[in-house]
Amino acid sequence: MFKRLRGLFSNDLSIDLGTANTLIYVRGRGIVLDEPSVVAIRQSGSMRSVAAVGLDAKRMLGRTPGNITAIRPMKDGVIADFTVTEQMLQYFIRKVHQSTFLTPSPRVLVCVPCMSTQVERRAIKESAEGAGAREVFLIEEPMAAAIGAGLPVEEATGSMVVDIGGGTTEIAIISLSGVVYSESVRVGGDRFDEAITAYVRRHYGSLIGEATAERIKEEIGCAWPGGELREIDVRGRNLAEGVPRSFTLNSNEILDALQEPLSSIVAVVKSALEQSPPELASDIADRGLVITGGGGLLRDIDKLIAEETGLPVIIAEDPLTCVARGGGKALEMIDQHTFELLSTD
Amino acid sequence: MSEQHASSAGEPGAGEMLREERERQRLHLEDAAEQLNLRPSLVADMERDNFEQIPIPTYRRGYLRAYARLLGIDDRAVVAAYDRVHGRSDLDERRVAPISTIKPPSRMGAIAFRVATVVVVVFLAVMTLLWWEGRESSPGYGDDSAMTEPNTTQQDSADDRDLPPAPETQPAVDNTSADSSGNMAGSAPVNTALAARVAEGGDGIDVEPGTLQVDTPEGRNGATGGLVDTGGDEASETDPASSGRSMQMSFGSESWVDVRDANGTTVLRGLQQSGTTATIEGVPPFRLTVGNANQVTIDYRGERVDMSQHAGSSNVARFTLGE
Repeated sequence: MFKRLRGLFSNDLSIDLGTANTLIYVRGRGIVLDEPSVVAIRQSGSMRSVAAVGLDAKRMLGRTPGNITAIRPMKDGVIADFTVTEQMLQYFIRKVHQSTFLTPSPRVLVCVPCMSTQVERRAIKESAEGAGAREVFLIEEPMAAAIGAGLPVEEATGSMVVDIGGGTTEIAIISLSGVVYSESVRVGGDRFDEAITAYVRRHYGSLIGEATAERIKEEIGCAWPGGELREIDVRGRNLAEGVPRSFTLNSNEILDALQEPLSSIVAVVKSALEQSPPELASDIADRGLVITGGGGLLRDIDKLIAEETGLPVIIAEDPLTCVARGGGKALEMIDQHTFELLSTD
Repeated sequence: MSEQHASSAGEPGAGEMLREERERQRLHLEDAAEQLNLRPSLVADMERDNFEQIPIPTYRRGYLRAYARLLGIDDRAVVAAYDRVHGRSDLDERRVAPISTIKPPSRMGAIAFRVATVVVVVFLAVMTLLWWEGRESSPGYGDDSAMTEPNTTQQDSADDRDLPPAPETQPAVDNTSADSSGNMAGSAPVNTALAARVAEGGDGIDVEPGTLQVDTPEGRNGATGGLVDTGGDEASETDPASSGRSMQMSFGSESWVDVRDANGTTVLRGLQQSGTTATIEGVPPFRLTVGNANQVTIDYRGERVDMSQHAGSSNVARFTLGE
């Protein structure tokens, strides 16, 4: 009853609760929040309190003193730390409701990986409820990504979307507002970073942190040879000498480092194509597939998939925000029941 | 949808930009189409800014960007050229609210809400307490206007000229009632008056024989036995004191009183002045509410009622007489 009253002063939200970033779309306003899914926890005695959330917390990653831990509460697209996720959501929901006198209690649509289990979905739902949501709807990430990318999901034609996120890569073939086939693999931006860290350790005998690995990926990472050769100067702790050392990496090395996670993605795309019904496969072959998510920003990833599959590949406009925007559009149509929303009951 | 009018705007259209670049690189249309995994006819149409084959805007922009990247030119410029002709309305997007304008969440709202709630709750509690206190301290129900109500019984005031009929014959009554300064003072005139009335009745009133059978406690315990035996009869209904239909109340100081008889009739109600007495008649038992109880004396059936038994800590007595 009281939640309903507070709901009058709250906006409907669509949350892309991603492994790497959390985006919030407010109905009628667009995307208002895009922050890393990182929470810094301060431990004083037996008391745990939130020291920072989002960008501030991400700056602390790998640089924290003993009493502060910077945590990424989402792992592989699902909740790894329930309490911290709840606190993070609470912070974000309050942040997008600036001027309200009452604690906000919005209707929330959360995007979940398509292969997540009922337990994982329930955890996400309860976490959003714990953060103050009045009602929680769930939608599959690839569906939201397809809507956000502007694909004709309601038509009786097959559309294929590959959403390469921070923790997972989701592939779905969509027709008539429903997912015909979906596949998910726990490979994403994080695995790219790990692969780069491992490569540097193996070839340069140096340790680099998560943040540095991510910077290397963003600046010189590529998925297909033949492009412009780029270089970057990196500093890491040399394992043999124990002191920080500087070295230079080039994009071909990173391409080499990323081979393993990239081939996993290609394999799962191919597997989805093999599994798709022939009519839809012919639609996809004609129009191609669309890449969304942060992985779409990796240079030449479209070329890699196009070469491997022989299909036209396009990268959605503003791939990072596709899921949140699609969730937002679904939210605006929520009362029309146009889309199949997931239920955990 | 024949969009051949790109060059009419003075700037090259998206297709024209792509075609010029491809020709400059001496790349065959078929080769480009093969690298894009698109049909050559579709690529040729794109170069002519004809997008009839690609009905969905997302794919149009996607192919243009892919083609531009293949040729190594800025894909944003190509898409911008396309948008100049076709507009961006098809995107139907609202990408607003730069994140930098959002300040960290303030807890002030929540704190203010809690403080307001606490203030309201405390205010209500205080008001309830005040109301309760007021209810306890004002005898009866605080209805002071009741004093103007017409009483069903006569109300004697020794100080007034309006003298009661019975004591008229007894000058001593006036003297004693005027002397009513203490708790017990009031009882003297009442008793005197009672005795006088009984005696008077004994002299002159002819009582019906039936009334002899009236069984009163006084008759039984013999306190007034002599009168009943000798006078025959006076004890009777003509003397309500002995039948239990009447009682005497004396007020040592101001007191609010409410007396109801067995029929529920209010026989006396209102603020009684200090030093007054009241004789009440009605059908017993009486339900009494007496404020300032320790300053009030009640005689019923010739006996003094112990007010200290009934008066609570608030000095208000609520009890029933004559059950």
